[in-house]
Amino acid sequence: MFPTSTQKKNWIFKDESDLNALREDANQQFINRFGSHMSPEERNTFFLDVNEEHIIQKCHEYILRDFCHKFQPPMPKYVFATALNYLKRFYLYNSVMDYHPKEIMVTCLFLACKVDEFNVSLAQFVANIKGNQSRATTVILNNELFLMEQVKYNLKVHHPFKAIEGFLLDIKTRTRMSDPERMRSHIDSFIDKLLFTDACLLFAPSQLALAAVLHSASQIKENLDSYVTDLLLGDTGSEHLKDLIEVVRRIRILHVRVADDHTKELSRISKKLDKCRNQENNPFSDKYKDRIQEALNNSM
Amino acid sequence: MEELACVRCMSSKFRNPNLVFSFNICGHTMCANCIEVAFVKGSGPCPKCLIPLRRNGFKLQQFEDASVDVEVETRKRVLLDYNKTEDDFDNIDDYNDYLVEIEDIIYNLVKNINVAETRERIELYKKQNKDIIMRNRMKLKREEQALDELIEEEKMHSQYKRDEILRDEAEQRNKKLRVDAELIDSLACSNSDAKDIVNTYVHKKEEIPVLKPKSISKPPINFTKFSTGVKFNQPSLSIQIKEGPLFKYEPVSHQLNGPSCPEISQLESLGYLKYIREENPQEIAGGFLIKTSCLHYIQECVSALYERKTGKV
Repeated sequence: MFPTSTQKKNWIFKDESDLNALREDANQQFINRFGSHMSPEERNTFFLDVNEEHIIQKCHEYILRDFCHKFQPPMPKYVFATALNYLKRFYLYNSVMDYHPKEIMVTCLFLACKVDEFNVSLAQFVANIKGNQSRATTVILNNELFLMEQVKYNLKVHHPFKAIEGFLLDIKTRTRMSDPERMRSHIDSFIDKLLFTDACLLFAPSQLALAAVLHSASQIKENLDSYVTDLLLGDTGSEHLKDLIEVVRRIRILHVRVADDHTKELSRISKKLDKCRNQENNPFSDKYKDRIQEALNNSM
Repeated sequence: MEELACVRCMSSKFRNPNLVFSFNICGHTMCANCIEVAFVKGSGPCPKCLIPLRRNGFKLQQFEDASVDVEVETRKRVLLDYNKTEDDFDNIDDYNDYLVEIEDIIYNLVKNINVAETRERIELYKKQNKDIIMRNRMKLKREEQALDELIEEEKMHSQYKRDEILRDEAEQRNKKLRVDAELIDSLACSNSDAKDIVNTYVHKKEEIPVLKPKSISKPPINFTKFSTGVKFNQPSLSIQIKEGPLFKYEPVSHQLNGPSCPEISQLESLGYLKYIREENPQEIAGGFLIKTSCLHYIQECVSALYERKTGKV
């Protein structure tokens, strides 16, 4: 149940400014840690700013989507959604420069497969990765526990998918709307778009589902307002109507804003990232090898 | 001294050393064959004193004189009830009196003096000290169990040691055999002087260390207990029932933070089930009800619909 979940307790935030503040913090901390010897101008040119970090993260979300589409065996959508949620949670408190999203992304997906009971072995999973698979294996295993720690071991993620089924069922049962299944394709595309926004960090899954249903109802020229006011909320819930309308409005705004396409900037920013990323966490750098060796020596 | 002999067939240990003698409460000895014959029906009179005896009352005779056996048997029986220990008495004199009383009773029973009166005395004692008897019996049982455990552990330990020694010896033997085989091989293949080869191998053989008793070998931990301390193969005698308030079922209440949601029993009458598939036979056998999922979907869509954290305007 969402109302008692850790998701509600730890991972739902008031509004976008809260999220941005957290991201800014993470970015600033990284710059302070590695840029102490630089002048402010140098810092600006050398490090990524919050906006660039955001673009990198977004691009990797799309890369993750394409990866999931091609994944064999075919993967249910909620696994992808969970992985995406982990990714968002992770980069609220960590900088893209510190941990490269390419690595965190696959680790998120692997963890999501486990949590959502989509049963693939690590070997099966890695077989979907192009490029060096044994290196991918080590990356995933190295990062998995760290990722779990970063999401505070709050592994269960609630999604709007079930709530959507619930609403459709409720509408079929309690209204006279003809063939509510017509809405489904619109709902799906709405939710798919929302996945790439911060909506899952701001709203409850049921609210997202309601917004999706209402949006798609307007797309097929149906009106569900009376369903919401009379049947869903009833007499007892009328005082919440205003809040709910506001919530749905905000979700729809989020949905509209998704469109930006960052692929042009991606190559420039990734080049910059390759230079400024924390080499201690880059498995191909000498610094990383030194660090691992040191950790091994200390543990012996 | 009188020869130990069966009261029925008069054969003795001297004539047939393989005879197995048993005795019954009257103290007369019989051999196993005669018991077989005389007590086919399970009970019958003693051939000598005509006391009615039961077949399963016969015990294997341990001592040459059957009366000693009878006394041991009687003592065992009496002590089952007279099982007070020194701790149960306030002073040593009382305890000594008590011991004397026990001896009197045993003597009377064995020698057939005032048997009826003595039995009455025992019955009276039993009635008066019921609680103490029970308590001490439990205590004894527990002590015995602890002893058994110790013995078992010791057995395991020595078994392990024996195995260890055997293993070491086998290893030693194998080493020697290997050296010998090597010697033969090199004698057959090498071109150097046979004497030299033999000499080097003599040294090699001497180099094999003599077996030393190992002191550090510890037996592997053998789990005989559950983590709660209860042994695996033990009838759980002493289950202690915890006294506490009884469990009281309270229906689960969901904090939905949203519009009200129908109960699971209402789903059908409200018509929700019309729009979902039916369970297949396998699912029904597994205890799955589609109603539950249906309710779950509905709950998902109403829960946290009034979430306020997001409601900042």
